[in-house]
Amino acid sequence: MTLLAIVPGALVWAALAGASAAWLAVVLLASPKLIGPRRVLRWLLASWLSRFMIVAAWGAAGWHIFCQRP
Amino acid sequence: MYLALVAPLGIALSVWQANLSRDAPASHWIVALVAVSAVVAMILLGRGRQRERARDWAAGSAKTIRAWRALPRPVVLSAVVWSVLIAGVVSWDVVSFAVQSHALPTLSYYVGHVTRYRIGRGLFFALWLGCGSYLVGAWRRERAK
Repeated sequence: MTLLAIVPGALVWAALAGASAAWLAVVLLASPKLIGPRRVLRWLLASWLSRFMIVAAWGAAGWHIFCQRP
Repeated sequence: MYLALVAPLGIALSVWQANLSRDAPASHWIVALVAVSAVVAMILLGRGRQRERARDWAAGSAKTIRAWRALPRPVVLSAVVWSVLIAGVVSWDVVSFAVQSHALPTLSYYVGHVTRYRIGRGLFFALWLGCGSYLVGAWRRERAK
């Protein structure tokens, strides 16, 4: 497996991943009053319009990952 | 019952996809057929079981955002942090894509490092299928008996 180079952009991605993981841990462990991913998804999937947009984005992501990326 | 029928199909498609390249016509057909099937399944499963009408959902969401001062602080904090994280990921990916520099890799550059291997491609495809089936079927209203 090839090693990934540590470039400036990689540091930003690492910071975003770390912040997301930390926030997820806070939401899941610290307080039930905070809005977790389940509530975000429930809100997004509540209507036809928002559900269709999410499913369309999922399909586009699949096309990009499996048909355009190596 | 539903899972018992769909899971073997998903595994078979993932194994098939794992052995294909991004340029293979079969790979394109599988992804396109799965995406179209997901939309069809979403419509069939959702008839009479969607929790809100689109107009009510949009109006309710806008009303909640307008009245943010009246919301509990943990809710406002959560909304701000989620928005910052999602906007951060999307905008940084757009910037990295626009610049087209080795110093600024895009998110799909990293995904490509996983999907270039058979096992990574197959597992990623299974994950994609799982996410899709969740988005199609989750949070439906129970049918009236």
